Amino acid sequence: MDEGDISANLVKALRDGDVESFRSFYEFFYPKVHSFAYRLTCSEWAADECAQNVFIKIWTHRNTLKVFGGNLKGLVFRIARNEIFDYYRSIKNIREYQSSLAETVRGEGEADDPVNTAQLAKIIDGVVDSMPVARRRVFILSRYRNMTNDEIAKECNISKRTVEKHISNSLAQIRLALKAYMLLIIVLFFIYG
Amino acid sequence: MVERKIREEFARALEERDGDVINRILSSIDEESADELLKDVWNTSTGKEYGGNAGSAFDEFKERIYGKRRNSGLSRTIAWISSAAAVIAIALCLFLALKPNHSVTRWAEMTTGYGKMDSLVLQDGTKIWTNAGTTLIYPEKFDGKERHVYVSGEAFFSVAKDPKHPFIVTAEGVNVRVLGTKFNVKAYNDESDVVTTLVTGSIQLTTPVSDSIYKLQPNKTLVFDRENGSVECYLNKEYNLPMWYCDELNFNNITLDEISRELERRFKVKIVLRNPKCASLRFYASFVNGENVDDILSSLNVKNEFRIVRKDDVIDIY
Repeated sequence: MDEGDISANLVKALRDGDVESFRSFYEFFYPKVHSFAYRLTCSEWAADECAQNVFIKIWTHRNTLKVFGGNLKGLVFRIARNEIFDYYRSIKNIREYQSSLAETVRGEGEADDPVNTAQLAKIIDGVVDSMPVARRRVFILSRYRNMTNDEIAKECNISKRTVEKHISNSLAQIRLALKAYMLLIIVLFFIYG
Repeated sequence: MVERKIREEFARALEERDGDVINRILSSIDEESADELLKDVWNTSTGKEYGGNAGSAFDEFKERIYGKRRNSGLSRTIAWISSAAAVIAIALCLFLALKPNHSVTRWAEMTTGYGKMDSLVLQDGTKIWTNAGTTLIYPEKFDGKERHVYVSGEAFFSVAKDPKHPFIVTAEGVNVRVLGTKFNVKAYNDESDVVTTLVTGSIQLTTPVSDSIYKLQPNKTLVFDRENGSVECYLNKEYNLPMWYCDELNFNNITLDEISRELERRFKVKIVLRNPKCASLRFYASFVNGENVDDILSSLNVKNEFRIVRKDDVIDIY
């Protein structure tokens, strides 16, 4: 399937609201958008979120988008680039949350505590990357997007109890990883420090 | 054009996968320069590095735009309850359909509008006259041990004799049980009194407030007040028996308030008593010659106790 076919399919998908016609366009562009986002955000979960959001935006704004005869690649780039800016705009919140979460795990640390908060934030990123898709999405919406449990339940079409369960599971997973990491670093510090 | 130094720093951050440095660079330069850097990343992102499966990502995309197809716990419960309800409903329908026909009572309803009177003969030969503003509910065919009808309003019954099948009238909570007789029931839902008058034969009454059974003799009237539950019984003079079904109106020591309500129903008019003193005036009167509402009201006003102003169907009494 070449770009002409994809463009024709996309026009049909957007005009008729036919999601299956959207598939060829999606599968053609998704890897490119994803690796673009991954290189810029340096995080698996953020790349997944950004890439998915790009296509959701195209789909939900299909009635107002002008793709006819336009430059498809240029359109996708513009939306993807906006997603990256959105991500970096929200990263302050994310880092703040990550360090507060790291603080609660670390507790009242010593002044010469070898574990710094930036490192712990990276650990959290890694744990979020490794979470099951559904749990990760709920965690991101709740802690990084500051949505309420009710809003998340509506957005993901799951019950509020399931939302609560996902959040407590993801927090437990992060705490466990942070504690294990800190123990390891402190042990290494005393051996080699 | 982005400075070479920034360009190099940006490339190094990409290489070292340092998101915080990338963020710092992008937010420290103007939008045009940032676009230029991003465009480079875009053009060099071929998608070959992407290790995932675009097909399963598309499935997730569909899930996000349509919502989860999988049922949540709550909707599973609802689905279970509704399928159980459906099974019960089907079973009930089958049961009703297969049940022998004679035990299913088909009810009919007859409503008599204001300004009208009506009558009908039931399947057992009982004749019923219904006064204005009355609803009668009766079975198309009597089956079972009892003959049961429901009335709201005023009706005169001439019940066909059938000792094996008692005839029961339910009127605003009052049950009248008869074997074969003539009687009148007046039970409008906007009046608190339920008035039962026996003409011939005998009847038994029960009220909703007690288990007492009242036996009524001919020419006697029993009044049950639905508001306070009181029961009053009195003997009627011959001329005061209900004769409305013969187009006669009899008022025996009745207030103008009650009379006006009767006239409203009979003649389909609205009577407004503007003066409370008038409402409690009492009258003895009988109209047997088919007089209209104006005749009746002016006859009642022989002493000039009130003033009648009629405008179309609304009559004001001052």
